[in-house]
Amino acid sequence: MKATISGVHIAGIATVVPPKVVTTDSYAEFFGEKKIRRIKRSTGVESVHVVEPGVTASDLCCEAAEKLMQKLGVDKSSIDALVFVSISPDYRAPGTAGIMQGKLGLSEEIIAIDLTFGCSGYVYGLYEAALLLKGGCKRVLLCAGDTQSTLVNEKDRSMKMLVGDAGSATIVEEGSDTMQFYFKTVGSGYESLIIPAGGCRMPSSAETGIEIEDEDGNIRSKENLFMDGMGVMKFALTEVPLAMDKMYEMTGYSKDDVDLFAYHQPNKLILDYLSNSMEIPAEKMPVGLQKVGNTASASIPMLLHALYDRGFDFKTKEKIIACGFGIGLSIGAVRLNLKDTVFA
Amino acid sequence: MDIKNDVQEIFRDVFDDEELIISNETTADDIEDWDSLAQMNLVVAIEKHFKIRFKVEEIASLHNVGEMLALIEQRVKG
Repeated sequence: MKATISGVHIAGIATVVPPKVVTTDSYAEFFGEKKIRRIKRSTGVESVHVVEPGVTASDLCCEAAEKLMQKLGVDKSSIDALVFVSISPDYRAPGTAGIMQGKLGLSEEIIAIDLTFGCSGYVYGLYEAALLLKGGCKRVLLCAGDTQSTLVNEKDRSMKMLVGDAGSATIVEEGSDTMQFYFKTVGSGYESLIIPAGGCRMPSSAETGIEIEDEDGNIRSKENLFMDGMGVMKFALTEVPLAMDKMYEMTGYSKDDVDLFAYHQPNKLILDYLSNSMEIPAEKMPVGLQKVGNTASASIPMLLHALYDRGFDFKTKEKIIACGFGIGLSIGAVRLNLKDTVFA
Repeated sequence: MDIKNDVQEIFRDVFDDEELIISNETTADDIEDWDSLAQMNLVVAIEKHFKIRFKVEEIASLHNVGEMLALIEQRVKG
C-alpha cells in the first residue's frame, strides 16, 4: 500500500533510555564466554538499557514527551491527538494512550490511540499522525517505545542479549513537508514473532507459564516473546529491498540520491547483509545498536537521535528513507525530511 | 580451490572451534549453536570468501553441509 501525505512537518524528536545498563559480557557466566563472544560478533550489541521493575514503555515515552514539549515550547493544550505505538502496553485493557493523556496533563479534548506494532511501528505511527492531521488535528504527539526486556525470558539466549528498552516522542504538526509511505503486511508470518499467551486466543493459565527448552537450548514459556530468527531474517532480506524499490518509484530518487537509510536495528548481521546486497555504502545505512540493542518501535527515532548527536547534517542531507520491519509480519517505509526537526 | 577445506575453516571460525570437522552429512543438529544467527554468519562468510551470492530462499535451506558445498561449487563455476 502506498500513500503520499502533504502538509505535515516533524517538529521534534526526543528519546529516552532507562538508566540501568546490562552488558552482553555479563551473561558469560550463564551462557558461556564462547557463546557470548559469538553473539556479540553477530549482533553487534555490547550493552542494552533495561527498565527497573514497574517501569513501562509509556513511562519512558512520557519522559521523552515532557522533554520534547519543553524544548519546543509547546503548549500542552495545543496537542489534539496522542498515538502510542508499542508491543509493551501498560495493560491488556484499557489502551495506554488514554492513560498517557492523563499523566501528561494533555487536554481531554483529544483522540488517544494505541497501535500494536514493534519494529515497523514508528513508520506506522508517523502515518497515523499524518492521517490525523489530514482529518482535522493540528498537532499530534506520537510516542513509540518498548520494554522488550520484560517480554523476553531471562534464559532465552536468542533474544535476551539482543533487545533493549527505550521510549521516544515525536511531534508531528501541520507544515509544508510531504511524507511518502509504503506498507506491506504478511499476516501469514504472524507466528514468527509472537507472545502466544495472554490474549484471547490463548488466555494465561498455569500451563502457559511453564518454561520449555527449545532445540537450540533457549528457554521460554508461552507468556514470553518468541522469535523464529530464520523466518524473520528471510522476511527482512526479501521485503526490505522490495520496499526500497517501491520507495524509489514513489519518490523519484535513485538509490544513490538517498542521503540516509534510517532502518530499524534488528542486529548488525542483517543490516550489514542488507547494505552489501543492496550495494548501499555502510555510511548511508548506519548501525546504531551497539549500546542500546534492538529497541523495537523506538529503534528508528533512537537511530535518528544518535546520528544527530554524532553531528549528522540533517539540514543539507534531506533525502531520508526510514524503514521498519518485523512483528506482524509487517514492513513500513517512509520518505522523511528532517531539516528543521529539533532533537531533544 | 579446495571448497570443502575452505568451508571447514569458515565453520571453525564461525563456531570458534578449531577442532570442528565437517562432513557432507553434517547438519544443524550435529553442531551446537547452529541457530539462525550462526546460519547468517556462515552465509555472510561464505559469500565473502567465495565471492558469490545466495538467494534468500537458499539461505534458510542451507542446513546440510553437503548441499551447501554443492551449491557453492555451482555458484563458483558460474
